[in-house]
Amino acid sequence: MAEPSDEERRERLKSALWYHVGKIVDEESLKRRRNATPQFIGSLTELVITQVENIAQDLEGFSRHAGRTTVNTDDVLLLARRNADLHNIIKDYVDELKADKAKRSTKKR
Amino acid sequence: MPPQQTTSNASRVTGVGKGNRATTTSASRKRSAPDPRADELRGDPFEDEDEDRAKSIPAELLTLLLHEFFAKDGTRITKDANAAVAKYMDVFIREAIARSAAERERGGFLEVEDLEKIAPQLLLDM
Repeated sequence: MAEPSDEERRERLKSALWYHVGKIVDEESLKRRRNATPQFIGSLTELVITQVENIAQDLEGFSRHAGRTTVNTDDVLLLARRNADLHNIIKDYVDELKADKAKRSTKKR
Repeated sequence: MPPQQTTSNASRVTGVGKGNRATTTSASRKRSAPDPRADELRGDPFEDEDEDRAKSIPAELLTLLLHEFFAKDGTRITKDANAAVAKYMDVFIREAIARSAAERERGGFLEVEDLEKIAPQLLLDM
């Protein structure tokens, strides 16, 4: 924290995230024929950063609890344990990824 | 989603060219398989990634962010898990926008105060 380079790197990450959040906001508000203030995008970016920070610490904790140092998809599923709909979305996505990978590896052989 | 259809079509075309040279046996195996999903198999993973990246947080950026917040240096994350987190954050962002838009029923610009109103419940729901 005390090092300025850390601060700088974090600011750069935030700028990058801001850009992508802005793109999603544009896309979603276009769908709804709405518009968003730049301040809205900035606040949403802050909210997203805070959430990523919480998620990172949770994921790290989950993996360590399982005796691992590498976060895997099971840890991510645990993240969505309190919201069944969200859990299903993530589960479907993870299953899709795994199916893709299985198909690709059989294709190679 | 229509964009996905176009991608799978395009990737199928490129995939055929590659398949003919490298993996002829697997290509013929694919043709004989009755599974209809085999046709939709994405031949070119890079094309799909580009399509996703245009409207979501890029995987690389998310990896950097996660590692920024991991307390221990030794912590790593698998590619699939990273992609799953990207999906999670995508849902998070779109949900925040949808709830903000619902908060401001009359229309007009989405404001910070709309986000402030929906943030506490959103955080509890995620």
